[in-house]
Amino acid sequence: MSNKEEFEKISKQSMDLLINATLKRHGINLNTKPQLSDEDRAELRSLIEGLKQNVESLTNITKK
Amino acid sequence: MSSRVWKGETPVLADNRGGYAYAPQKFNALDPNCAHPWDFCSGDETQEADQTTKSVQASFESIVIKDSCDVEVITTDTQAAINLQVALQAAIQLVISISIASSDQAEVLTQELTQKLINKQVNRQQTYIENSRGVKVTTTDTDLAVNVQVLLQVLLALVARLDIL
Repeated sequence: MSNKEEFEKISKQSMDLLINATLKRHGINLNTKPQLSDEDRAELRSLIEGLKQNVESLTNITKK
Repeated sequence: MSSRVWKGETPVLADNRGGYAYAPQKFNALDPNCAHPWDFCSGDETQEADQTTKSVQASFESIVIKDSCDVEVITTDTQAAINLQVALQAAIQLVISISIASSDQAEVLTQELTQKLINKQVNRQQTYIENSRGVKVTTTDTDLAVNVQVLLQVLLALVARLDIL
């Protein structure tokens, strides 16, 4: 496994641990899933995709 | 009210940390008998100060190009990066508030998750180009770039964990 892949795996794992621990500490029950309409889900998906693209292109923004 | 100082008592000064101020004697690093003023503080107070410093966000960049031609400067758009950071924090709060009924709890959770991870120190960049031709300079605000990447990771992990999509 390359260093980059290994780093990404560890990073994801630590992020998951942090979120799980934080949610547990606040006593949040994860068994009940939020009721969202298909429209809401599509909107949320599009928002997340947009943010992902923005983060990727951030370092390529050029100011002259 | 009568003054105790006029009665010949030594005035006792209290600092804002609830302890006593030892400031009158100037610290001298070369004097082995001179204790550093912070030596009087306990470990908890040091941690408090550290945590407060972490929330500082500032980025200053100045680019000066003088008597030059064919100069290309590529830099991180700080304002765009900060806007993106705010948008990511809002999205995290949105995802949490969708999943958790209590809005107070949602806000506390968002703050806890984002403030723990965002690590920003004051970033100062100064670029000065004078009497140059055909120069290309690339600068990056690493702190901001890392912050948005980490926030995106939190958002994606949350969406996966809460099984929203």
